[in-house]
Amino acid sequence: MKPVHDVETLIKEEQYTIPQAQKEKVLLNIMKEQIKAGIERNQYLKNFYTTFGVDVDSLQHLVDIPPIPVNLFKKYDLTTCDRDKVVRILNSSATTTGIPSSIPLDATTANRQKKGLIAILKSIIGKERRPYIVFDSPSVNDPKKSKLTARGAAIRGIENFSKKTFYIMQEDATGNLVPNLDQLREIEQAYGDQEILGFGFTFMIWTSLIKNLEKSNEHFSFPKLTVLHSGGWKKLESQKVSKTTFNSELERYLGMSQRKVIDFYGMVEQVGIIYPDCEEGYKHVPNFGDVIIRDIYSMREVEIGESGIIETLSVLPTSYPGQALLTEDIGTLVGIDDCPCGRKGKYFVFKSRVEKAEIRGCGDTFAQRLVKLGGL
Amino acid sequence: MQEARQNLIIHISNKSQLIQLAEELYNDLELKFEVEDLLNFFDTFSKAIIRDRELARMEGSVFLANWMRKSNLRKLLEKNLGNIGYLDQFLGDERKKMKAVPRGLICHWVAGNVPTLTFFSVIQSLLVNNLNIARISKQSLEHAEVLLKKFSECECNGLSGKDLMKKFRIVYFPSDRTDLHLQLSQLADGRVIWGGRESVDHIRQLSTMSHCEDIIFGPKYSFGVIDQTALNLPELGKYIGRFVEDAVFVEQTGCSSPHVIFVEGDLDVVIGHFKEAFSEISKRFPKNGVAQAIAAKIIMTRAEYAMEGKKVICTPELDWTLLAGDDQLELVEPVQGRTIFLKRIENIFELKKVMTREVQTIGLLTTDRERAEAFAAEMALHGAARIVLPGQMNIYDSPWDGILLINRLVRWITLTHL
Repeated sequence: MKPVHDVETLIKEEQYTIPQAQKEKVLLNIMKEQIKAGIERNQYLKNFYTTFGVDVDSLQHLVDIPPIPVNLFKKYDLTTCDRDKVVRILNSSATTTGIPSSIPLDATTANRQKKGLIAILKSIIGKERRPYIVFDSPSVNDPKKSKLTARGAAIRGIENFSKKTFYIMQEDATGNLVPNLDQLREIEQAYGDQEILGFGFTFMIWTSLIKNLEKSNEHFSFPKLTVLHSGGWKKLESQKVSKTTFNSELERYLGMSQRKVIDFYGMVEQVGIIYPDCEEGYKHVPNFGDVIIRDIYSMREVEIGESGIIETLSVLPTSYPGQALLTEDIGTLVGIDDCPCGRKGKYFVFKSRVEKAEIRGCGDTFAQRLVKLGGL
Repeated sequence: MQEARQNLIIHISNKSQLIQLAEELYNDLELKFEVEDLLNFFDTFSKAIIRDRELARMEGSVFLANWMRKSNLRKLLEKNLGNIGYLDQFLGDERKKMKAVPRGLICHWVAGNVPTLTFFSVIQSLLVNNLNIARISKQSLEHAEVLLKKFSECECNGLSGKDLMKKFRIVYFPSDRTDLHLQLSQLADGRVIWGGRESVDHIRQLSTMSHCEDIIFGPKYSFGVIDQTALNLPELGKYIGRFVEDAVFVEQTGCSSPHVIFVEGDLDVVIGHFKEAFSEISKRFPKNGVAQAIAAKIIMTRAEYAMEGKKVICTPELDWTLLAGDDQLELVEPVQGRTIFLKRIENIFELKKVMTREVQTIGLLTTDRERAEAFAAEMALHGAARIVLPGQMNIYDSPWDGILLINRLVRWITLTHL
């Protein structure tokens, strides 16, 4: 069956407009073709579908696609395009295991991801370019590097809305990131009364920006600033910092409105799709992707109001199997097609990372055994 | 339940509470219960558990009840002491005699993986009239409360649970309260420590009195072996079912839970039996969900095996998982949650190459007794502590981890005569 929409159209159209049932059909048709192409080009992927006995042509629903755990990108080369077509490798920040994910991008994927991110942001912050404050150091987005971190990729993606970009963090004598207060004051004087865009990683904004502004008792006035931020909530929660505290501290020190602090969920394995909070505080899925919250035991999709492991789906990638990826995050499915904000499709909230509790009891001898063998 | 928590399990918030408990216990140091009375009491407690339908349904409680039968505890004492009479009087020849006396205050740190473990540990110490403080983990609180309530209500020939409770206290405080762990450690004449590596290491390094005896039941790894002679057994399926039961018990969190089964021959001969056994046992003992961390490991391991084109035999949900196709001679990192790795091995004696002191139980299925003894001797030399039949891997026994616990919980006193 010929797809009703192609990927480019899905990206180009106004986002959050396709009702869930209709979207699923559109995405499934596109994904089946993409998965078949991937299987042809990658033996690991072929093994994966064969072992689980999945006939791609027979898939009836998105939930029937076996999702690939994101951590497998740390272990296997899952490239699904010709190697010479890879233009960039995205690396995750390797927070949990110490090993980064490697996501190969071909030109098509990179281009679609860029367009996808623009389409999402446009619907959230408008299409105008504006001064862009990056709460990070310029080294994370070095154009000379062929490998890019998640931080770098996000900064670069949002830069499409920039009239002029300012990296306002710098390293102090001890190597810690601190804000360049003089530079920030100059930006305030030049653009303080204008629409400004800001972006940073949540944890970094808290520890390197807010805490330093608090220490130096410096306050700024950016009444029209919109701050996008992502990542690092786990560390903040361990410091008992709530979303409300985070937002109010930004308001206090940057002189902005709390309502313009936008938290979004995203991951390096699915660049091109971010899930920003809507006015109601829920995360929405653009037309060119989907989310399935799976019960952590039955692996079936949860009912509305229930929580489970988050699976993200996307039709953007052609160079890696990002069609259905199982994250290590827990979310709650809040509703479908009926968010008061007017956006169609599923909407959800991010709850936490999957607990990585130590194995209980006496069965945790394994690492010790390996150490011992290594010493022989 | 709330009442039980308040009265029977003591929630500790400061060091002076622990010191006070120890003082209270020491007031009854000379209080001695006769062995026969103790055996009768525990036999009564055992029957009370079996009769209580709700209690009998609790994980591990029926096994605990069977273990507490008079005949079993008597055997346990005899195995540990040689002669139970040593507990009551000096025994020996005319010139030299010995007696077993309590070691004093035994402090138990009990892991939360086996809900009834507290009772196995404390009862052995009570049998030799020690004083006891057992610090239990949070996940054991509910089980311990219910069992302790029943214990306190039991009575046999004038000896009641409440009398026996003069000899022990069960306490709880958060695991990160190092000050309280330290205080408990400094009060102990003997420390019995059950747990994973991190908790065992943490408690071990705490200071103690110089005479304090340490008995460690630390991190262990267990696996199963099916030798070639067993592959022709007409009842192979039944025995494989027992391996599966070993794996289902406490969801593979125990030291004695098998994670990998080595098969000396064609895996295809056993895979069908394992599949059938898992399907059958899942109906009898459905899984009550799965912890997030274990779910993530199961999902990841299944996917890894699939990516590498190995065999993944499982249910669509995370009920049970069989993984085959990686025959490298090595022990596999436990996944838990009813996950078994099957590995083909050329000769079971090759397993000595992967043996360490951390291997506890080997479930061995063979029809050749001589071979079994030779295998057991060789594996024991390289570290294994128990070589038992499938279905018996988790049966708590003495010795355990190579230790005769009760023997270590007494002091042996010598008396010589003119």
